[in-house]
Amino acid sequence: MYTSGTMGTPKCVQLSHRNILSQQAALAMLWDLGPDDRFLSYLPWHHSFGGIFELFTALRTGATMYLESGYGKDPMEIMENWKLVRPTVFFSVPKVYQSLVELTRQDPEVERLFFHAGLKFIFTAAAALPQKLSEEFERRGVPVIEGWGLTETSPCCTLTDPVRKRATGVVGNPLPGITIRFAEDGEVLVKGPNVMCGYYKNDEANAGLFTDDGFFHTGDIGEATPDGLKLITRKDRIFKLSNGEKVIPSDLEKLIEFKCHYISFAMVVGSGQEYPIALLFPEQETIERPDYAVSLMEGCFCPRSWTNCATVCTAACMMRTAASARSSPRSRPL
Amino acid sequence: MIIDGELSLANNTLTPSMKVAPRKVVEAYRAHLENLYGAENALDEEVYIIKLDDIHTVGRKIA
Repeated sequence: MYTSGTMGTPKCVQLSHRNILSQQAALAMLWDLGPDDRFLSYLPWHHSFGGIFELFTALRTGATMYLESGYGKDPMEIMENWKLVRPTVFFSVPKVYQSLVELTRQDPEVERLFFHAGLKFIFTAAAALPQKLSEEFERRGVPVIEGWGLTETSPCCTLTDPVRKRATGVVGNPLPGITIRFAEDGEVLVKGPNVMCGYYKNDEANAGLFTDDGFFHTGDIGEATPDGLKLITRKDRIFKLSNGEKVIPSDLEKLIEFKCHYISFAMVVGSGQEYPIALLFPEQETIERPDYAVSLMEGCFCPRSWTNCATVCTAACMMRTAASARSSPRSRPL
Repeated sequence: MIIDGELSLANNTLTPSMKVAPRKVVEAYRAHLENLYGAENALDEEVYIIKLDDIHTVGRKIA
């Protein structure tokens, strides 16, 4: 399976049957799933989350997997399929959960349908699930399980314990059979039967991939907490400005994304430059139909309490202005 | 820099698990970024620039 190539050219990850089945053996010790369970699946199979983790979990447990006809792109269609399938488990990413929970807020019937009594748990990965969002599930008795891993680790290395209170950014403890430790710079190192043997025909990428005692360099920086592993950032995203100041972009990105509901994605760059720049991608629907009374995220929300966070909220105000002035033919400063 | 556009799977700026693909985003907006560091590339797309110094000024006035 190829990596998605977020930071460069996709690499061909060599995963064995043993790698993949070891993951399922570990999950069998933790999750009680069986032939009566129903999956509603939209995650793509060319990616490890859908193609290895979800798919093989369904196969191993003998559950029924329904394929979502909209490929996960349309929340309304997911909900239509949800009505038909009434999944007992659901594997997804925070952005999709956010869209679905927004739908439940608009219609009590949809709310009852989505949080139905047969839903055993939801699984989330790929990014931190905002606390407010997970609370939407927890207060209705639907456990939230978060995992962390990479394609190179088949993919899951850690899982949160649904019984314990979630902490944003904490991705839980290692699965049975997997050992985690930290390098001196905080990089998370992993060893276990789930770890690949290397990249296919890629000597450059394989160089220095493992420690002398067989631990895999994941490229993620993290730290140990009482609740498990806390992820901080990708190692290759940390950069320095021209004055030597170190910038951890993900800290700034999370702050912006979680604090301002007008922003869908933020990305901070500026390696070697005098100052960093944040690229902000607006949440188009929210800009067109702002709702000051309801937000899934924590913090201040423009313009209700914008003095709490002048920078982000003023940016949001300006985005609204910008949205109404899109006829401008050229880039322009505000 | 506020961008009047969306990240998507279609243009590879998002991964299948809806994570931002940093290099693809930088590639897509390289000319804009270079301009913010002093270059003068010709641009067609709309972006909106907020200088933090200006924001701080606004914040002080309102406070």
